[in-house]
Amino acid sequence: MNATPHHAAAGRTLPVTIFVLSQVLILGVAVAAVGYRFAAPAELAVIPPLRNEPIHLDPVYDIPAVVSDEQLSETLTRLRPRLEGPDTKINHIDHALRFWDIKARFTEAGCPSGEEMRQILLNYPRFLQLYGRKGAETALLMNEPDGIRVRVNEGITTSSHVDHTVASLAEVGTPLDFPVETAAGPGTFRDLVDYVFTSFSLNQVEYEWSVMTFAMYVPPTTQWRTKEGQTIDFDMLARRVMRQEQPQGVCFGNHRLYTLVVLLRVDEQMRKAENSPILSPEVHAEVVSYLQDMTQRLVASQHVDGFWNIDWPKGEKPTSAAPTEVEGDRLSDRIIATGHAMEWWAMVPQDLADEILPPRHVLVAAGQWIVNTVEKLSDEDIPTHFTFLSHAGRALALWRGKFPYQVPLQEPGVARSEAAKDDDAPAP
Amino acid sequence: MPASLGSQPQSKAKEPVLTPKLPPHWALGPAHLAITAVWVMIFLLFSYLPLRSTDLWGHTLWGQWILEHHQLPTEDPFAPLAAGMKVVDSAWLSQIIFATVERSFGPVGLSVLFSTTVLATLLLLARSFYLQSRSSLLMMLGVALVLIVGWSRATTLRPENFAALAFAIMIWFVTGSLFSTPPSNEAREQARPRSNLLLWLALPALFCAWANLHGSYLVGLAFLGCIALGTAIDVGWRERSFGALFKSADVQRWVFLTELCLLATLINPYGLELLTYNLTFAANPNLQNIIEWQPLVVLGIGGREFALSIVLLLILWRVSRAPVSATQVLLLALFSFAALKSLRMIGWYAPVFAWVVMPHLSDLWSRWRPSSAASQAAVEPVAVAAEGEPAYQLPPGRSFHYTLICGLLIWVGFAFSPAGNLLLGGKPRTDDKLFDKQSSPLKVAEYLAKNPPQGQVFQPQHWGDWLVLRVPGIQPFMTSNIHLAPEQVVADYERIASAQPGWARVLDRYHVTTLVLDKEAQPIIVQAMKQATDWALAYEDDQAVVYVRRQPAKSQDQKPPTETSAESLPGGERPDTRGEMP
Repeated sequence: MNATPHHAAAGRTLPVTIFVLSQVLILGVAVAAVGYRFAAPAELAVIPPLRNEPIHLDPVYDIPAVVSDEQLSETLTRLRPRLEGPDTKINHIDHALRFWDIKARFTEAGCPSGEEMRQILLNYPRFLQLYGRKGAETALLMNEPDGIRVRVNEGITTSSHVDHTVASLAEVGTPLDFPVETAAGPGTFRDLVDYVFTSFSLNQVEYEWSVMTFAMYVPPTTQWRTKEGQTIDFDMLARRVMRQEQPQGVCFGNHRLYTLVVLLRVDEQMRKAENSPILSPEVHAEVVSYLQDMTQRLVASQHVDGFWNIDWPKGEKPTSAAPTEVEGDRLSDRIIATGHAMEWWAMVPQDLADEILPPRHVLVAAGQWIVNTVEKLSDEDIPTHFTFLSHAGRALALWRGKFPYQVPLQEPGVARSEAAKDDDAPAP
Repeated sequence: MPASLGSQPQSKAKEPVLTPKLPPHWALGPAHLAITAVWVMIFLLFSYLPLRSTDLWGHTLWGQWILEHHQLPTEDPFAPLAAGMKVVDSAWLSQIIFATVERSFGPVGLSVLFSTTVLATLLLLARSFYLQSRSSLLMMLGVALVLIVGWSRATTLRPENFAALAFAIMIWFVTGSLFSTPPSNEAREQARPRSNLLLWLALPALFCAWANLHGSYLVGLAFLGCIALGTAIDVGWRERSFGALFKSADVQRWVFLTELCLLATLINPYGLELLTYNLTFAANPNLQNIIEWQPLVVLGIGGREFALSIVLLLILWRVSRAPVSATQVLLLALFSFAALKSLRMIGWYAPVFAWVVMPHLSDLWSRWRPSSAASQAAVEPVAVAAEGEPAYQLPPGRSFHYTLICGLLIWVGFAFSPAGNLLLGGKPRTDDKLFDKQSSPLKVAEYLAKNPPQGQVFQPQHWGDWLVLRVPGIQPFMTSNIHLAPEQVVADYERIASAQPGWARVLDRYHVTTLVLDKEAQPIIVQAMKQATDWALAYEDDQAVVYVRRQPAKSQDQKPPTETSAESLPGGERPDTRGEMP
């Protein structure tokens, strides 16, 4: 027997008006509820509240045995930034800016001031002046829906590492409201920083400079959300930095160590100034322990002449005093390993010096090796190795309690900036 | 049970006559015996299906976590790389059920849970089909259609099974309301649908439970919505009046019922957020590479069955004289579209398809076998008075013998099933029969349990839950909760699993110390690992291979990037690509 669907009366029927009104009411409530749900701000934003002025980290040590005043002046004089017209690499400019700081000014032709370098990076007309058609074809800054993106690895007019340019600008104190001009029009530095946040993934390939950027602008806020919906904080970032084995990462893993030290410094500053540390005690201890281990490896693997190479994490000393052609042991590799190690050590918080820093003779040997190496380099070699040397040169200045722009240069006709004269860093 | 069977000779009036205590309709016939045999076979079939580890163990683990911590997780407790990813646990109640059953009866208990849930679902659907067709044969045909069309989704225990049960209950209620049981035309005219009160109480309660069992309650709401809208269209069309549909009690009833059920789903730990979460869940980009979330392909899983169902539907609609209602069209349009868009929806399409075609099958059946109606009427027992007592006359072909045999069959089925083993005692199934080998590798899990890997492990995603269950403390790269993993992790998983350029560097980036690989499912990376000098083979069997990092430093293809060498990184991996999507 076939059963057919009923359409029989199902009981009492509401008057049409009441039924329609009830539906309008229900629909209104539903729309309002869903609208409220979607309109309500997420618990955590992808871009947390940011400070306009980045956190500034001063040098904290002054050990003349590492590098004498005279040596420092001679060495830095050789490492002045130079523009080479359209062939100038952007990664030389952002390294030079970070090295010499925004306050640097040089009288010698072809040596751009800190502010000039910043303008090349952030002002499209100035960028075009330098690069001409090449710059127009591959502009450094690209407007995106989520901010301004710094192009990476697309040629000499673009940056070499993810967020390196932004982190460098942050390190030299660029405020978020600093004006920026792209091919698409005006903006602010905040747009670049926003893009760092909106594009960040905890597991991305290069993260060292992203983490530094966060450390400079995010505190006292400590937690936010990534584009992937992942809630992150500085503890997670520190553990991410420590996750990989050494020497993985850029520059034989040294940038990871520098980033960790920056986290420790910011943590220390925030604890002292606002009683709001960015690291939990547990992770703080993990970072210190990790850096202690790195120092032990470095101490064990330092060549008697004072340098390291790619094998520094193994605790094995380089066998040859003279640079070899073996990958990881060439002169450039030794400059990378030695300059970067000296740089991150120079930024270790003073309170943790006894725990993290190596014996003084290690620092002295490394400092002297850098001085001697730079001295022996030909004028043609210096541009080739400039990016590595910028870390080494900056490290030397930091070990004398100064930023490079505060160091008097030797060559006649080159004067220190007026700003530098008034801004000598106190030697602790 | 009857003391004696059938009627007794009337010659000796003084002799005691044993009369059955059961009413005549308990007397069954050969058809019932055949149907019982089919049901017993279905039960045994599902009882002896091995437990597949799609996400069963993941849900069980989550349930255990909830029971231990007395709270719902806010992050995936078992996937370290998903730390910080927010969790809306839409299957928490199912997980607790799994964990409780597993804790009480072990994995066999889950197997029993699976077979009984499937059986209950199919029985309820069968009842609905019977209410629609009044034919046992068509009822079984409907069940067969559900099993054939939805087979690709039917063989796995997961929270969706509870949802399927809820769906079947809902269909049963709806069918009872739409298709009453009038024995005659006169009675049909006077008939009223299933008790309104029951509907108004039971359906919202069902949806409340459903929303806490699985996120698929939206499917149920869509079903009710189709009925409400379809009824409105039919009423409007029939009355040729737009205003008529607002006056219709049927329309009002289904609209209010749908709304009430929607309201009931908000009774959950997340409130409205659960609804918005489930509405947007399918948009999760991580699901794009999961087969069950991909569009249905005719020659792929479930595709042929789906195509066959459409052909059958068209034929039925062509030859059937039963009206095609707007509800039917809406239901089929919505559910077939959903199945085409996402393979996993075929599990919901199958019962809807069977439910929609059943009135048409019934129409054809009644036309081709008009005697069936008469034989249905003949089933009614006829009471014959004899010496002051009502005599007992069974319908033709019926006998309590069949009832006994049916009972015996059910008992034998139960006794031979794992459920019988569990309650009556018996030799339990061995692990290799209980677990699906492909998704639950026993030997490698045993090896890893004895040699627990330290640090991050890369393993096939489809083994993630199983290894977490069997290897305490393991840190899986990816589990069944792909939707919770950051996109970068999913992309990197794909890159490693298919040995795309730079895969070894990705292993370094995650500091993977141990690789567990499925030789059959991951032949490319298995082959690549044979050339990897930094990895040592630690274990191999016919199914799996385990490599451990020889030295926790550089990978074999690694040249640490320097500031000048970054542009020429090996393997095509460029550090500027944040996403590195493969």
